[in-house]
Amino acid sequence: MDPMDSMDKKLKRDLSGGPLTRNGFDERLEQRIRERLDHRSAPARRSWLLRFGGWSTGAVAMIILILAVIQLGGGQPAGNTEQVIADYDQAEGNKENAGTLSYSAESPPQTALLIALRKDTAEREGEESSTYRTLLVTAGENLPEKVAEDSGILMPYRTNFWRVDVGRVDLGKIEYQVAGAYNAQTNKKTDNPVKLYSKSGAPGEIVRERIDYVGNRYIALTREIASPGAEGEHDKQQEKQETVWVMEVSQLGQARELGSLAAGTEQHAVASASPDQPLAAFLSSREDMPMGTELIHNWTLTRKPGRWIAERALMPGTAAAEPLLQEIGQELDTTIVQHNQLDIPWHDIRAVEPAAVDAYTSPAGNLAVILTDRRLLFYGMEDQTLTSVGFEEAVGPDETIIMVQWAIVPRYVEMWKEQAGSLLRE
Amino acid sequence: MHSDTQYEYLRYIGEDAAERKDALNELMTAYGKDVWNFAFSMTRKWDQADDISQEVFLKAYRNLHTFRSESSIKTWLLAITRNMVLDYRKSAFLRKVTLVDAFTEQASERSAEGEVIEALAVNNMWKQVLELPYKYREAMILYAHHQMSMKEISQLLGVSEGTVKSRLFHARKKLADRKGEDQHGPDGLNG
Repeated sequence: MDPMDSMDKKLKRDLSGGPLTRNGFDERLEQRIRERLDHRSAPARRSWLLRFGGWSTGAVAMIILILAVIQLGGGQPAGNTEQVIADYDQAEGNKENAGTLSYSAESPPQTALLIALRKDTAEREGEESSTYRTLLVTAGENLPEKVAEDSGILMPYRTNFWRVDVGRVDLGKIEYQVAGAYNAQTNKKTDNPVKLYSKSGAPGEIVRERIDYVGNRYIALTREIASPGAEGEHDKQQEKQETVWVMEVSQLGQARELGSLAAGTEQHAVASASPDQPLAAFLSSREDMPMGTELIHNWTLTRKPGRWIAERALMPGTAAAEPLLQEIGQELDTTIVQHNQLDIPWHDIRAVEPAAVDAYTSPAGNLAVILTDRRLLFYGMEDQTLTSVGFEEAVGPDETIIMVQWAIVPRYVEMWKEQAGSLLRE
Repeated sequence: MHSDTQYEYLRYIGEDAAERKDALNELMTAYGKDVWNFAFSMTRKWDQADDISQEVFLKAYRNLHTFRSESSIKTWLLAITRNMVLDYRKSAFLRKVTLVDAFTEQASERSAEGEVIEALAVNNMWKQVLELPYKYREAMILYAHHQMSMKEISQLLGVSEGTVKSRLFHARKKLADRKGEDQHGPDGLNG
C-alpha cells in the first residue's frame, strides 16, 4: 500500500473522534447561548468581550418567584471610597488601598486585624459543606490579643462592617448553598444572609458555593453545579461541574437569581490582565472595559506562602477533579489585595517557628500571624523581627485562611475594636 | 449522524422567534461538538473555544436566512467558526497579549495549553496534530477529522485545491518527521 494512503487511513481513523476526552460543548454552554439570545439587544462589542453575557440579571421586568428572602443587604455601587474604615485617613486625602498604609509615625504603631477561616466538612461521599469564623485581633504597645470571635465572616466594607456567609435554602428535594452578604450595622444578625429567587421556578441544577477569598470589596467563590441524578440530590452518580468566580460584596447583598447562577450568566468581577499594570478587576456590566488587556472571567485568589496570587480557571472541575487553575503571573492591584507582602524574611520566621507554612505581617509592623499545620500564632513584632507570642489559636487540618484585613490608623483601630468587637460578640 | 437535508427548511425560515430558536436548538444539538472541537483545535484554549462557540451560534441564529444549501450546514457553521477564530486572533487586544506571550516565550500559555492537551487528548495523533502550525493543522483537521473533500476545504479556506494539497503534504511530512524523531528517542529530537 502507498505509504501516503496508509498514513491517511491512520490519520482518518485516529482523528475520527474529537480531540479531547471531555466534551466542551455541554448543556451549560447551550444554556448560556440561549440566555444570550434572550438578551441580545446588548451592544455587539460587549457580547464579544463578555464571555457569559454576565449582565443578564439586570433590571428586567420579570415575574419573580421568591424562593427565599431572608435578609436585606442594600448593595451600593462600588466606588472609590470603600475600606475607608480600614486603611487610610480621609484627612490626608484619598489614599485608599494605596499599599503604603498611612499612620502617624509619632504615635506607637497599632493594628486591628480581622482574620477569617473556612472549615470544610465532608457531609456525604463527595459532598462538602463549609463553615466560617472570624477573629478580631489587636496589637498596640502590648502583645497581640484576641478581642472577639464569631461564626461567619465579618469584613470591613466602605464605612461599615458587612457579614458574608453561605446560606442554605432548602427547596424540598434540593438544597442550595449560596453566598450572600449584608450590612451588619444596619441589619439584624441572621444565620442565612441569602436572597435567592428564580425567574422560572426551581432550576433542576443543584448550586453549591464556597467562599475562597474575601478582601476589600471582592469575594472569590467556587461554584459547583450538579444534576440531581435519578436518586435525587445526593445521587453519587450525579454530574458535577465546578468553576471559580469573583464577585463584589455589594452584588452578594442583592437578590441573586438561581437560573443565572446555574448558567454562569450572573454579573461578576472580571480580571483585567495588562502586561504593564497590576491585575485589576471590573464589574462585567461595565461598558468601558479597558481595551488592550486580556479579560478573565473565571479567576480566583489563592494563597501561596507569604502572598496571595490570582489564578485563572483553564478548565472547569468535575466530580473527579478540581478546576484546572493557572497562575496569572502579575502583581495584584491593591484594590484586590490590600497588603500583599511579608515583612519578615522566611528564614527568620522558620528560625522561630520551624513548622511555619504561611505568615502574614501587619503594615504597621507590630503584629505577625504565623500558620503551622495546627496552630495560628499571633506574634508581636518590632523592627521586622518577631518578639513574643501574644496568643495562639488552634486550627484544624480542614481550616483555611480566607480573609486577612488590617486597620492601622489609630482612630480606625479603635472603631474596629468597638464596632467589629461588638458585632462579633452579638 | 445528521443529514444536512433535514436542514433544508432553514432556507425558508422566517422571522418567527420560536421557530428560529427551535432551529438553533437543533443546530446546537447536531453540530455543537463539531463547532467547539474545531474552535478548540484552532485556538487550543478551552475558554476561547467556549467564547467562539457562543458567538458562532448567535451569529448563525441571526443569519439563518442567509444559509444556502449549496454548502452543507456543517460546512457553513465551520466557516463561521473559522472566521470567528481569525477575528479572535486578529483582534487588537489579543494581538497585544500575544506579543507579550511571544516575548516571554509563551511559557505560561504554552504550559497551560499543554496541560489541557496532555491531560485530555484522546490519543497521541491528536496531540501531534494540535502541535502543527496553524495552517497545516486547519487543513489536516478538515481533511482527516471532518473528512471533507479537497473542493470543500478549498472553498472553506478560500484557497485553491493545490494550496490545500500542499498544506496537507507539509502537515503529513511534519507528522512523519515527528514520528521519526520519537522513534529515535529524545536524543534524536534534540541532537
